[in-house]
Amino acid sequence: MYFLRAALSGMRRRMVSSVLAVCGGSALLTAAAAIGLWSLWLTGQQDHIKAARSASVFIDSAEPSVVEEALTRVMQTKGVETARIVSKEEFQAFLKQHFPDLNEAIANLGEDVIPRMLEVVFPSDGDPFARKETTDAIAKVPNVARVDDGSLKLGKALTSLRWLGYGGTSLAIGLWIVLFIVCLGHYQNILYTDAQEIQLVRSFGASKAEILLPWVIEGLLHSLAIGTCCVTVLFIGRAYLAELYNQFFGTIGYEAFRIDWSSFALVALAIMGMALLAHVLAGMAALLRGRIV
Amino acid sequence: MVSLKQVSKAYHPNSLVLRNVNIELRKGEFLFVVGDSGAGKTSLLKLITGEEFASSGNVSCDGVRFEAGSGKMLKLRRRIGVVHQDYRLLKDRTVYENVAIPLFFGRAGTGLEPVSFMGRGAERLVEDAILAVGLPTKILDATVRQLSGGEQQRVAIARAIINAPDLLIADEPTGALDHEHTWTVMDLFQKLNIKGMTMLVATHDRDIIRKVRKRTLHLSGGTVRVDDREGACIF
Repeated sequence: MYFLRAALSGMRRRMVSSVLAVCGGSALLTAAAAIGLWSLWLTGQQDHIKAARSASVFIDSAEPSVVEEALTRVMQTKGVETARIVSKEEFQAFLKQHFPDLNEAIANLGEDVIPRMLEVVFPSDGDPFARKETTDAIAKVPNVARVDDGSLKLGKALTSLRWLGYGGTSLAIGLWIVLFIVCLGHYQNILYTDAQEIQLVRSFGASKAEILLPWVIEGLLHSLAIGTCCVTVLFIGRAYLAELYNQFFGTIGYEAFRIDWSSFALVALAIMGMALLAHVLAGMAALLRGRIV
Repeated sequence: MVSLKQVSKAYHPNSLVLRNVNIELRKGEFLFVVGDSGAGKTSLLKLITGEEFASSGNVSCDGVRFEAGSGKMLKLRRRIGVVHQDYRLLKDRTVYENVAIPLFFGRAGTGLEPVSFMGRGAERLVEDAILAVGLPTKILDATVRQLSGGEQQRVAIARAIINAPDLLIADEPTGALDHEHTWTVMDLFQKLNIKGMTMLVATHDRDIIRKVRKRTLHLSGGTVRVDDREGACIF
């Protein structure tokens, strides 16, 4: 009872400082959470790309017999589960959907300029090294111009993810350190404003942990407020966030970004954990720095 | 119980507030500390509560030396009740919350029974302490701000005695009280002393010293001028 009352009384007396700490924490951790959501989504994309089992094989001739011959040889290649010829209509529909300008330009040039293409499916349990050997073997088949098994996409995604991981981690650590400094200032202020109460409970035999406890409760209440603010801001801004991320990554064929509830819950928990950790550590640091006899 | 040997205290270099003080306070003893303003009474009490540390010499209680960073001091503090000259009440909280504070910290390691805050245990102890200092229990829900100076002083005394400490240190505990309440408090102190509580009271009130007639220490200029063991010396 004493500890909760001390925490509530402290927050009431230091209203301005408390509001600033919550606002600062909310702003910093909302930014960290937005980055976290992006990282989570990209991790999902990585799994998605890794799971892709097909490759596109481009043939350098429009002659049906040449295409048939290439199909037969490709199907005989070790590591290929099945293969088929992609029809001109399918290819044009793809162009129309993703590259309408190119589709319009090609349509006026006649049928011969439309490349012939095979779709190859690999076994679901194939490992990446075996798949590389298979795509190399397919590339050596006569009249095969190019094999695209998504490794380019995967490479881009992995590079993006790696840099995003470094950047995101650094940014999150930086934001957390800023939050820690804000909290440290808040608790050093408490050491000054509540000096009489701290001295009083100390004179009755309170240990440093017991002096810290009301601040931990205060930190918990701040963290709940910060978590609520962050989740509310992210929820309201989720459409804008999705649009922003999709604009940035849309060109390399990712699935549309969306925020699901499990990611949301995870991020909310992470925010509260980070906020609470900052408060507890800052409180301990303030106690160590302060002179309490 | 309390021992000061060759104790000096200086808050600034070359400005000693206490010089070479030697005091032995036995268990169950009642000691008045008297002296003019600035004589060093409050500094002496702060050394014994462990709020300040001696610049030189030894201060110990039950063989435990008071020094910064000593872990044993926590347990020792739980056995000492303190009435501060400025009361040190938490003004934004109720009388009940103020008086109950030592119950949260002051029992572990003292041999006293832990207090349950779920039942009526804590409430009863707070009510007993409040009644002992002559205050009605109806003020328990009032905030300290709503009380007069005299009532605040008695709340501070109730808080100091709630854990039945082995040693009670009171700095001018009757400074804000009228004649009737002064004697309510002094009668209480004498009863607690008869039960075995060691008392150390700093006061200006000659009337109290004359009537109570206990050991009296006269401080002047930071040194002990007279240690009147019979309390017979009228200053």
